[in-house]
Amino acid sequence: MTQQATEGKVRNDLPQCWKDVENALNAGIDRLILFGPPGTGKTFAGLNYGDITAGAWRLICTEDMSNAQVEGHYKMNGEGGWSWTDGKAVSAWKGDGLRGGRLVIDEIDKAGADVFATLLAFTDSPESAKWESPDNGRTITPKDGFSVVMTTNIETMEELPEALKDRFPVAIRINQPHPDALLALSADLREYAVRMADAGERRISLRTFYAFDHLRKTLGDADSARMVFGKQAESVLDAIAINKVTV
Amino acid sequence: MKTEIRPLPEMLGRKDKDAGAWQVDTCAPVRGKPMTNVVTKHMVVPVGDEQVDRVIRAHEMAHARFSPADDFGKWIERKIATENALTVVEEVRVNFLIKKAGFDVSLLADGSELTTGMRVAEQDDWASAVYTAVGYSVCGGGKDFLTGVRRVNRAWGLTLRDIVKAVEKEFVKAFKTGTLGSTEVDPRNGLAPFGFSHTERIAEWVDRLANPPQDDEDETEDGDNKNDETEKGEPKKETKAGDKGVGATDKPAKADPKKVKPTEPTRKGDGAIPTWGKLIVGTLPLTRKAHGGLGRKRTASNIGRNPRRIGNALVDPEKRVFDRYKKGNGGIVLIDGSGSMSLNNKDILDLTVASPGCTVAVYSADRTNVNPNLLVLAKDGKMVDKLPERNGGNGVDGEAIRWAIKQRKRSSTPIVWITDGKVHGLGSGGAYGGYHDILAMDCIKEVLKNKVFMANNVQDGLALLKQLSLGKKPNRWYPRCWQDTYKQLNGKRLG
Repeated sequence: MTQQATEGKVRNDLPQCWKDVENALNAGIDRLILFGPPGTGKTFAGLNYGDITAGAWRLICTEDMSNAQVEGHYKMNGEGGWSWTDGKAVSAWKGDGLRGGRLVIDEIDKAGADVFATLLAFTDSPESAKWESPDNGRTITPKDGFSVVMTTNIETMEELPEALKDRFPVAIRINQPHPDALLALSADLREYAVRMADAGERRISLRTFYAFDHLRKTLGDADSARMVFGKQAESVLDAIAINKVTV
Repeated sequence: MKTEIRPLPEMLGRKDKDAGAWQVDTCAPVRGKPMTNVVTKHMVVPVGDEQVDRVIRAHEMAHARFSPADDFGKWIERKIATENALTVVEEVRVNFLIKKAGFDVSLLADGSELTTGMRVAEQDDWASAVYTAVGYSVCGGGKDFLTGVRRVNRAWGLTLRDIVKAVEKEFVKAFKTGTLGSTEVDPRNGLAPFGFSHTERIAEWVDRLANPPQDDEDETEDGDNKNDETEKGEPKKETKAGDKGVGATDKPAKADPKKVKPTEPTRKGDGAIPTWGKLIVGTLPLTRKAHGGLGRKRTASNIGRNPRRIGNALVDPEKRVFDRYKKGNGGIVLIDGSGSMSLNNKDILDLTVASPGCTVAVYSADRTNVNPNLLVLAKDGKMVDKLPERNGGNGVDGEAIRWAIKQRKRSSTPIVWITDGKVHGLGSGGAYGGYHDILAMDCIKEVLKNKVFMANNVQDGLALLKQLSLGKKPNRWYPRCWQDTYKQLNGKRLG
């Protein structure tokens, strides 16, 4: 995939949302929001697609997280002293030392106010983005090539704060699993995984289908469905039976 | 706490409709309550964990998977089968498919079927009996319904049982084509789902079983302005206390499935009825005057200028020695311009000239069907002077006769159709055209219902027009191939 992105080619068999992602990254868009139902491969895309030769760092936001994960923190070393460890955002700014890397921020909408403000500073435009290291007092800026992919499960972009939307002008709704992710699933289940990824309140994630697929090889359909799908088990099996009656 | 089991219509795949989220609401497991709207993606089903609830959910899921979505109206508009028949036969298709998927369709019953059967038989409502029996086939209530009918009318009960068996047999045959559940678009008519064409074909047959042609259907009442609907009249309702108690009757069934038969699919694997092409009406410059009026009559009158019936002065008590012209009804003349008719331009012009005051049109289509396929040759006392080139095939016979029927201003206006009856769907050969019994029956129904006069060739057409111009009642004639079709499908003679 990375190779394709580098060559600037987009596969024709991709669903539209994934074509859009690859086109955006190939075109050098360095601030991208991927939103939509969980389990469709948004984070995977952030970590793997486009130019990630200088490395990719993932930051999972929660209410309890602190700026230490973003900027960095001191931690004890083996000699009884303290040494500084860069956070994910700073690491991504630095990249491989020559070029900036990729920062993937999962669930930014769940970050607390402090972290959110810090992330805004780190995702600002290269001209405005600056950060002073508490370790040596040096001011660092993002290296060329630094990019940010933000993922979230919100359904509409209106739910995101204005300042964030302003920094991420391109937002793509991912409503289908990536075809490559589907390849790990048995062929007879792929169509269901695609349809159920965006089925509203009754959605079933790709991960759930992976589990069902794995279990049914030893337990059979009925028991696997009961264990994986719970109260939806009967409905899943009935839908499969009806769907394939004329196949 | 009871577990609610909601179906997952989102999992179903259709080729004619995009996947997406559905709204699923709940209802009691009672006949008439559950429903599925494929267009709006709305399903109402029982959500209990009883087996009957599960089969009802499967039934509605099958509707979501197989039944028509946006095109249902267009299927009805084809008029090959009535909406009523399409609806009940679609229920059978859906039940047949869920039975194939392993669901116990015998649970689909609510206990009201027995009394429904008795009531329908007591009301002597043969059409309802057929539609309901078919609708209840391939489900649990079917046997009870037939028992109910048989208690009141044994003959009906036995015949309905044969009908139900025959319908099920047709679905077995259709299933073997591998297209019974197809949701692809039928390339011949652009309608989806393809599998519904099996429903249409069988529904057309069920319509014939439910509404067998009346023996006096083709009798003419010239000059009668009564509406066709009123002419037929309501069937007499006769309920008597027969041998088996109050309401029992021994009236024979009105149709026999051994005689009234379904049509065969065009070709194995297609499972569908060929279709008419779209009618494209072309206009030509009507530069020549066509004087006169078909059916104009001269009658005796006691007022006038020239006493042309002087003899009446002696024999007629009212002394009607003058002539009075009674305005004719005009007429509609439709000419089959396909290759099998071998008409040249002179033949067509001769027919047009022999139809003064009439609307005259010639039709023929080709496979591409992009050019006008029905040309108006005369209208409002004017006619064409010369004819353009025509297409060589049929393709739109049914649509053309419907167009002709729409042109008449009064129900008494005669319609003349000059054709050899070799009506074809669009295209040629195999599944994409050719003579098909359903298409022929479509034309036959229109001809009988609207009392269309038919002529085989130019000579017969001119003779027929001559008779009409003289105010005489022409003899009825029907093409040989139509007679064969009618006999084969309805078990009785046409005309």
